[in-house]
Amino acid sequence: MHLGLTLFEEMVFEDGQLVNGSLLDYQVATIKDMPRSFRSVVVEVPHADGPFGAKGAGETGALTVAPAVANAIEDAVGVRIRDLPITPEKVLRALAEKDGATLPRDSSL
Amino acid sequence: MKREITLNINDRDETLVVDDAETLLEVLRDRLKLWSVRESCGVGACGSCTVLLDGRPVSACLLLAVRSTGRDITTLEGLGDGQLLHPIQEAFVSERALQCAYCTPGFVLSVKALLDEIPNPSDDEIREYLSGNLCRCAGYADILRAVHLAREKISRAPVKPE
Amino acid sequence: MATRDKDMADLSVVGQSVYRTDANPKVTGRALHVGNIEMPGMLHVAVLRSPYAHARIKRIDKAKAEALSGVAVVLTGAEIAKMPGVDAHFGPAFRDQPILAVEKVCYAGDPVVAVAAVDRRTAEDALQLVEVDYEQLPAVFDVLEAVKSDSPFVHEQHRPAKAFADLAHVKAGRQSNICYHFKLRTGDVDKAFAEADRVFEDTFSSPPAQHVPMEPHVTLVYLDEHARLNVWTSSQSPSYVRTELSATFGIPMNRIRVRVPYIGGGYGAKLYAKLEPLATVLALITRKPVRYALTREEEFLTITKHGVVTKIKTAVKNGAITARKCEVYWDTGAYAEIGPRIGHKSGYTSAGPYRIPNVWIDSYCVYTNRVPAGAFRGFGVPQVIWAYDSQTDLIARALGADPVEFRLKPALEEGEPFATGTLVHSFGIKEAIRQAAQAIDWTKPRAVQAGTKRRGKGIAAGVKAVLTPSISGAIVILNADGTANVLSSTVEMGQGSETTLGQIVAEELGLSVGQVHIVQPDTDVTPYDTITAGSRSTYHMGNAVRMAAAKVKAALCEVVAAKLEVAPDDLLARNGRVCVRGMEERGMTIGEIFLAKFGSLGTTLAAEAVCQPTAAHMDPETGQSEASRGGGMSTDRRPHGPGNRPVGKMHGVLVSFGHRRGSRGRYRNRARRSSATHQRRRHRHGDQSETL
Repeated sequence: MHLGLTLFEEMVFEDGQLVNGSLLDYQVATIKDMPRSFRSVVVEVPHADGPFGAKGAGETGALTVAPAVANAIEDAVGVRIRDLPITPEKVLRALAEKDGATLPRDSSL
Repeated sequence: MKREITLNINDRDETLVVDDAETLLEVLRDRLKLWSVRESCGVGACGSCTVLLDGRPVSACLLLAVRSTGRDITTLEGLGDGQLLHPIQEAFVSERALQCAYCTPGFVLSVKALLDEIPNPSDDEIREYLSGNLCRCAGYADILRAVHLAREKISRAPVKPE
Repeated sequence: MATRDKDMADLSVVGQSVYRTDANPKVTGRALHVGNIEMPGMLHVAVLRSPYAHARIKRIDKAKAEALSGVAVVLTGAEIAKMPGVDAHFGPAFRDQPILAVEKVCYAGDPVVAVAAVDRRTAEDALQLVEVDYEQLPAVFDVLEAVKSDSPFVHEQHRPAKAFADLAHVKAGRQSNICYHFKLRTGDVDKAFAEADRVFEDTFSSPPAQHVPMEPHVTLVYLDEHARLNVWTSSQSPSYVRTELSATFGIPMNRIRVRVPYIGGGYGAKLYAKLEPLATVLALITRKPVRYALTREEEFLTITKHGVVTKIKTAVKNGAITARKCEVYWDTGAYAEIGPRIGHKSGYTSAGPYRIPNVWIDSYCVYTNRVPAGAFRGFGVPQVIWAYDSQTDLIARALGADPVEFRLKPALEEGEPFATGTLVHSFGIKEAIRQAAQAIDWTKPRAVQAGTKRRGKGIAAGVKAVLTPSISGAIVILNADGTANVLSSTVEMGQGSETTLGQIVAEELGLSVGQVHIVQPDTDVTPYDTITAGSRSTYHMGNAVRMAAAKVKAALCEVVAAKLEVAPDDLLARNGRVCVRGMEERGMTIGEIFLAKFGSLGTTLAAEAVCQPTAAHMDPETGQSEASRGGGMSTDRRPHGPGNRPVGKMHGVLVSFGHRRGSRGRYRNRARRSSATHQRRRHRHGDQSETL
């Protein structure tokens, strides 16, 4: 879910009107968007007064996806994206700007 | 306009009077109470209402009921013998490939069609085939594993005499 | 409230990999959802929504709609406002959201007129016959514009709701779009900036997004034979829904019954009251069962993730972060919903899980004329981590420091104070960072990259606490045959709470998971629970069911201790028996204990417990109210066995990504599908993860 929120999910408003309010226009991640390989690492630290040491883990995996991806992108190509989602267009523009070029605003990338 | 039609659903003929504008989804849920078929997006973009039409997965929300006559319609209720879980369902359980599970009936039927069409699919083929079904709990990795397990279970199963 | 921890080596159910107890009904499609429940004479609802973002309602003509055959009622907000004893507005932090718009609309999509009719199509047809005249008002859509003094105001006044203890300090206000302001001041930020070697200043933003639960919101309301209000609803907060309906309609709480079966995903979208107030008012007027189900398009107009702008300024001296100043602006949309709690709970974490001596935080919850925003998978924390751990990384790279080492050095240790002064415990963040780095071979030299493809590695760390102070109550009922029923208002929405709670009770009572049945939320039967959200259920409800089970076990042990003449402390519950530790053949089955205690097998043994971590002092200015103990941080602990960890929920602590320069991603191809067949398999994103 947070990979989608990192890479493409965004409610787009024009003059207060939502313009992509259906699943034809609003993109959520499909099985094809899932990375080819990923691993979950669980670090167990007992909660002193949780039941049998337990605590909730529902949200933790979701929290840091976006900055981890943005940090990896800077590591790869040296550009920093500061507004989500990190779309191909934003990365391409940042790369062009880094090289001193600008891309036309209305290009249909 | 209303007309009488006969639909073959899960190997049973159902005769009913429907309006031309009624979708297959409305007929399956509201008339026949086949609750495994679920409305979610209403525009054929999520796969929650997937049923098999002559073995091929379709979105029941986009199909008119009157256009579904003369075809074999399968919902999740019609998978397997109604007693034991189908190997695909067993695989979804073992691989924990379900969470809220609202999408699960659609996924199971899509996997059924996939394995009928491509008995030994690659990861890429699975991803391609299942990309019309959305799981918002994002259990895709588990679903991928479940497909492989289901394939193994099915290939190990004794072949039924024709 | 602390329960004595068993020796971990003793555990026989907790920590084991078990199948989900809800797997069978779910995988067969037989799971009960609200949408499967039908009542004789049930009416269906359709809602006319505002086309304008901010407008006064001048006239509504609904006569033609009312005359349409099959229509039971056509209702406006003005009519609700005139109903005696009814509050036309609801909301968990402020009572600012009208059941239907009264006098004015505050966002494009705001419900204005509702129709209840014999079927959905008739209700929709009736809407076409309603005429509404509006007078448009100046509107504000940008959170940074909305905080300016000359901005149009979304609401003329702010009316606090007083529904939750942790929001009791929310103040009434007017002449501002800022409905909540959380402040945190630690140390001397100005001095630290003045003395800094370098200062980094950045602005990060994230847009509104939608939860897209595969099951859209659905609610069924009817009056039973006692004219009690019965509500079936796809909600993450059944206890709150009852409280809210009682407050809104002046109905005694014992005359409202809220039930929640399995729900098809929530992610925060289904918290607090959503469809219930409107469905209730329609049922009260028509005296008929009323089903209100959102379409997917309406779902987008009902609740969103907060769009957030964060300005973050960080001082560095001698290679270490010495101060951080964060201004966080939460776009809460037209109605505050739970925005203030998010502005508070996430706001105070916005400097990160690091040892920073000087911290200054201003977190503003701001009204705009957009769709209301609420909780979304992380309760606002992902938005603040996006800012602070993007910047932390950027600083490390600018200083030529290793991003992993740069985080490890100031990462908080067990028992150290967080920026709020709260001591962190069971924290584990250093180990989490180390293991994440190891998993992506962080220290391995990068291969020389040829061609247009570049591969990078990224790491990020963050912190989130569980929602405190909050409350969970539970009742455990042991049957004479050694099975148990557990009454809990935690909603099973996919996270696996039925399995987790079942494991905890089974462990405490020495049963198998299959012998424990978790009763679904029903406010007539299951005790109060704050909400199912914020990763709080395993800790809060887990403790409640365990404590209740422990009371039942104590009653069993009392009987066995007397019979066998041993001390109760020497007994343990295992395999459906209570037996002597170390001499397990000496003991009694649960049936034998029931016979000894009651002389009959026809009875039950029940106990209730409440988990309510005690809050430290509440500071109304900073809103600091964290329990001294009671926070789950970024690490996991049993009872999830290796196979039944919340699948999908653990993924993504780290992501490393391939990156290809210069290729054209297929972005937002809006081609509509023309056929129903799965030729439609999506190509819309192409291989997004490869062609970034």
